[in-house]
Amino acid sequence: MEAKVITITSGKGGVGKTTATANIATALAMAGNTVVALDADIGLRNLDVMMGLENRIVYDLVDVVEKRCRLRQALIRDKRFPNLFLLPAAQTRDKSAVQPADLIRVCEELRPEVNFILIDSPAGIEHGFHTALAPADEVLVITTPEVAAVRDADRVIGLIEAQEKGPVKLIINRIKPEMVAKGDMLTVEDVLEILAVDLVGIVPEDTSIIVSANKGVPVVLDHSSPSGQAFKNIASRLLGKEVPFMELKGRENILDRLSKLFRFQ
Amino acid sequence: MGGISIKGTRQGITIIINGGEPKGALKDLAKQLASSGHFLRGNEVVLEIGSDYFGVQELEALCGLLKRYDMNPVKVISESPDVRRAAQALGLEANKPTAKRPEYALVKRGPIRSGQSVNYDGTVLIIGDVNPGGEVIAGGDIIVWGHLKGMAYAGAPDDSSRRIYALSLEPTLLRIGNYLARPPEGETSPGKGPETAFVQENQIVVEPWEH
Ligand SMILES: Nc1ncnc2c1ncn2[C@@H]1O[C@H](COP(=O)(O)OP(=O)(O)OP(=O)(O)O)[C@@H](O)[C@H]1O
Ligand SMILES: [Mg+2]
Repeated sequence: MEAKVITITSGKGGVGKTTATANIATALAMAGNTVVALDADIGLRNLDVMMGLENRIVYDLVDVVEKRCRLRQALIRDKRFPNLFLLPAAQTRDKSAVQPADLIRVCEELRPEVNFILIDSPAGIEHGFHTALAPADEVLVITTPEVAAVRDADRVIGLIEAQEKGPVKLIINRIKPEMVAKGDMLTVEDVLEILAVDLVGIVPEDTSIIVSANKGVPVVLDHSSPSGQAFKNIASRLLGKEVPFMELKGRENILDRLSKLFRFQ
Repeated sequence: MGGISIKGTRQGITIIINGGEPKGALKDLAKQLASSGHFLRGNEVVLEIGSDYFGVQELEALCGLLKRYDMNPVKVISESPDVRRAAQALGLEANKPTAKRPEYALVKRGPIRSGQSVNYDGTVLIIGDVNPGGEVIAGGDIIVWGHLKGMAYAGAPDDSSRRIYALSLEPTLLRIGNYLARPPEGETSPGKGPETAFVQENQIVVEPWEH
C-alpha cells in the first residue's frame, strides 16, 4: 500500500473543512479503504468531536512529534469502522508545536500502512496552513458560495499553486437551492468561473449536518440525508469513479421562472 | 566627445546633448541652428542633457540661444539632480529620464488570483482572468484576454500614454500613469464586451475595444 495524502483547506474559516474531513474519511472507509483522518488544527481540535471519538483520546499528534508516544499509540480506531483511524490534534498547544517536516515524517510513517490520509487544516494562511499542506499529494479547497469565502479560496489556491501542490480540487459547500433559484446566491458556475479549478463536489445546506456534528455521527451514515450523499459522491470521485453532479433544484415558483425568461427593466 | 542631436517628436522638438563641456556643446548647437534653425521656429523644446556641467548660467545661455530662433524651451530631462535644480530655478519643468522599456511583452497565463501580483517594465498580456484582489503593474500597456476584476496599473509610474485592454473590464481600480479611476459604486456591468481604458483630458476614459 502507498497512501494518498489529501489535505482539506479553505482560507476562510468555518466553511466546512472539518465536516468534510470527517465525512469523506468515513465514506472512504465505508468503501473498504484504510483511512487515517489527521487533525492538523492544533489548539482548536474539532475532528474528534465530529467523529464522536473525543473521550478516547490519550495521546495526540504533538505527543507523536515530541516522541512521548509511538504513532500507533496515538491512532484512535473508529467505533464503527475498524479500518478508520483518527490522529487527533493537541488542544493545549499552538500551531508552532508541529513543523512542516514533522507532518511529512508522520505521513511517511503511515503511508505504507494505509490507503488514504486526510488532513484537516486550520483556517487562515499562516504557519498551520503551510504545515497541513506540506505532505499533501492532493489538495481539496472548500468554499461556500459567498463572495468573501470565494475570494479567500482564490488566495489560497494561488498559494497552493505557487508551491506546486496542485492541481487543486474544489468543494462548494452549503449551497441553498432556493436562493440559487432566486438568483440571490452565487451559483456553482459563478464560483467555477472565478476559481478556474476542477470541481470534486457540491454539498447542499443541510440541517442534519448540525445534528450529526453534535452527536458525533458523520452525516454519511444517514442514508436519507442529501449532504451525506454528496460526501459519498466526493469519496467516489476521489476513488476515480465518474459520478454525475447532483441537480440541486430548489422549489421554483412560476414567477421565479418567468422572471428568468424576461428581464424586467 | 559631445555631440548634439535634434529630433522632431509629436510634442515638438527634442534636443539631446550628450555629455561633454557646455561651451563646446553650445557652440555645436549654434552651428546647427545657424544652418537649420529657421525650420524649427515656433516649437516647444525638450532638452535631454547628458552632461553634469549645466548650471543655471549654462542653461540660461542655452535657452537664450533657442529663443533667438523663436523656440520655446519647456522641459529639461537629466539624470543629474544639479542640472534639474538649475532648470527649475529657471522656471523649466525638470524630469528624470524614464527607464527604457523592454521590447517584448510579458505573457502570463491567468487567472491572476487574489494576492498575486504581476510586475513588469514593459507590456503585459494576461491570457485568462485577473481576479479581485489580484494585480497587474506594467510599465507599458496591459492586455487582459479575459475578465479584469482586480487592479491594473499601466504606464507605471508616470507614463499616461499607455492603455488597458480587457475582454471584460470590471476592475476594482484602474491606474494609468499619474491617473486613477474607480468604477462607479454599485455598478456592475458585465456583458458590455471588450473595452479599453486610456487617459483623455486629464481623466481615465473607457470605450469599446474595436481594433
Ligand atoms: N452543508 C452544511 N449544511 C449545514 N451546516 C453546515 C454545512 N457544512 C458545515 N456546516 C456547519 O458549519 C459549521 C462550521 O463547519 P466546520 O467546523 O466543518 O468548518 P471548518 O471550516 O472546519 O471551521 P474552522 O475554520 O473553524 O476549522 C458547523 O457548525 C457545521 O455543522
Ligand atoms: Mg475545523
